[in-house]
Amino acid sequence: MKETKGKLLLVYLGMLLLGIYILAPVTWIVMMSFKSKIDVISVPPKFIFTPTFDNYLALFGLGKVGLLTGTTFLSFFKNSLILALGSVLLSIVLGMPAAYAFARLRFKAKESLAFTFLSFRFVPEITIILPLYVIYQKLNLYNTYTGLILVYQLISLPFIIWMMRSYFEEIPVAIEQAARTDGYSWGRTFFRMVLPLAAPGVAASLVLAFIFCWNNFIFGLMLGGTNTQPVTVGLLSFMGTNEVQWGLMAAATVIAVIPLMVLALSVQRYMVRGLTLGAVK
Amino acid sequence: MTVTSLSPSNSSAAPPAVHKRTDWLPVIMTAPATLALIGILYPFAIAVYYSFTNYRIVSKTYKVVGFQNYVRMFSNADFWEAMGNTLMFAAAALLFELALGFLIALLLNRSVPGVGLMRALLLLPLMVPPVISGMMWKTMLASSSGPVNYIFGLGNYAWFANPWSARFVVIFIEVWSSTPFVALVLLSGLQSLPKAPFEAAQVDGANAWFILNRLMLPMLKPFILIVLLFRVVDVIKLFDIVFATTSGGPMFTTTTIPILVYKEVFKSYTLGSATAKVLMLWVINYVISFWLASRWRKTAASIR
Repeated sequence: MKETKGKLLLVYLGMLLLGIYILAPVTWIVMMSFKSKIDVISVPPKFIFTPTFDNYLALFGLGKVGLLTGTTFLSFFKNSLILALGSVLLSIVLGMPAAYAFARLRFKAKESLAFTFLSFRFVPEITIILPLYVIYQKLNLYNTYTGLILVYQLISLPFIIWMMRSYFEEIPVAIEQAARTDGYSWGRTFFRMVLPLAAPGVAASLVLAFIFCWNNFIFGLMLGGTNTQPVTVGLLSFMGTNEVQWGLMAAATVIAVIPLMVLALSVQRYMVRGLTLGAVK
Repeated sequence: MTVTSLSPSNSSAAPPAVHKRTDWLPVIMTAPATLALIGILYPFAIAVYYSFTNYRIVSKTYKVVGFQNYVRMFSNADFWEAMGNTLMFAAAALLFELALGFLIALLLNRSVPGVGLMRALLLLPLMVPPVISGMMWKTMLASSSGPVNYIFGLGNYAWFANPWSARFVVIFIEVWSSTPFVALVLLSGLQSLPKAPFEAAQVDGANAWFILNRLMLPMLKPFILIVLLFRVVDVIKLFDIVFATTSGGPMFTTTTIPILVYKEVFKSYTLGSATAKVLMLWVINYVISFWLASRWRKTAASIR
C-alpha cells in the first residue's frame, strides 16, 4: 500500500505523540535524578538546572542526601540480583527436563499437567502469599532468600516450562533420531544437539524470566524483610521516611530500570512470544 | 507469526517418539517440576482451610468457624467497595488498553522509517516494574512541583485528593504501563494476516469500516482473546500501582481487593477473613481466565 503525503504526516504525528506519551515520565525521572535537593522540589518545576551527581554518589555510599545512605539501597540491589538469578536457575533445574518431556515425550495426562503449570500464571499472587506467611514463619523461611526464591517459582517456573517447550518443539525430531541412530546417548543428544539448536530461544527465555522476577514487588513486600527485599520494595523506603527523598528515589529508579531496558532490547525479537508464554509466535 | 494452540489437539500431532522403551522417563523428567507444583498447591489448600477459621497472625490458637468469614464478607461495605473498584478498574483499563493498543498497532503496522524505533520504545513501559511506573507518575502529578500541572496550567490541583481523579490516575498509570503489551501482540497479529483478502476488498471498493469490521477484527480474534486473557488476570489483581500512588485512598475509593487484604492482614491481623476475600478474587479470576482460554483454544483451532 502506497501512503499519500498527508497520511504519512498523520502517521508521524501519531508516532510523535506516542513517543512523548511513553518517554515523558521516564525523561522526568532521569532529570530528577540529576537535580539537587532544592531543585527537585522547586515550584514551579525546573526544566533547566545545573546537574549534580549527588544523588548517584549518595546511592553508592559516597555521600549523603538526607537520611538514607546508599549502602541500604545497594543491598536492595544485591537482593534483587540474588533473587532473580536464583529463581531463574532453580526454574531451569526444575523446569527444563519437564519442558523437554512436554515437547518430545508421549505420556498420560501430559496436556493437563502442562496446562496446570500454565494456570499458575493466572493465580493472584496474594492467594498464595497469605498461607505462606504463616507457613514460612513456622519453617523459618520468612525473610530468607530461599523462601523468596521458592515463591518466585510461581512466576518463573510456568514461564520457563512453556517457553522452552515451544522452542524444543521447533527443533526437527529427525535431527535427534539421527543422533540416536549414530549411537549418541540420550543425554549427549540433548546437550550436544538439541540445546545448541534451541540456544537463542532458551537464552531469551532466561533473560525474560530474570526480568519478570526482577520486576516483582508483592512477594518481597509481604514475605521478606529489609535483609532480603528486592529493589522494587526498597525504592518505596525513599517515600516512607518523614522527608520524601525524590532525588535519591529518581536516581535509584534509573539504576534499577536501565539495565533491564538494555536486557530487554537484546531479546526484543522474542518479546511477544515471551509475554504470551509462547501462545503467539 | 502465528497463534499456536496450547490445547490438547497438539498431542494428536505429537512427534514420533524419539525415546521409546522408556516409560519411566516422563515421570522422572517431570518429577522436579511436579514437586514444585505440589509445593504451590499445598499453601493454596491451606488458604482454603484458613478461610473457614478465625486465624489471627498474632495469636497461637484458632478454631474453625464455618462460613462466618464469608457471611461477614458479603455484608461488609468495605469489601463491596473494594470489589467494585477492582472490577471498575479492570473494565476501564481493559477498554482503554484495547482501544489504544489497537490504534498503536495499526499505526506501527507499516514500513516507514522510524517504525522500528517506536517498536523498541514500546518495550520501555513494559520493562518498568509497575510499582515504579506508579512512583514515576506520582512525581509527574505532584501538585506543586510536578510538570503535568505546570504544563497544562492546572495550578496546584491535587490529583490524589479527589476520589474520581485518584481513580482516573490509577487507571491512567495502568494503561500507560500495559498498553504496549496489547499493542505488541496485536501488531504481531496484524503482521500475520494474509494480504490477499485485504487487496481484494480494496479492489472491490469496500469501505474502511467493512474492512475493519468484517475482515480485520474476525481474523485478529485469537490475538484479541490472548490479550484479554493475559490482561484480565493481571488487572484484576491490581496492587503495585495503587500501593505506590494512593495506597487505596482517599478513604477507600481506590482500594482494590488485594490492597484491602494487605491492610487487613497487617493492621488487624485477621488472616482467616482475609483469605476468604482473596479466594473470592481467585474464583473470579479462575472463571474469567478459564472461559477466555477455552474460547481462544476454540478460535485458534478453527483458524488453523
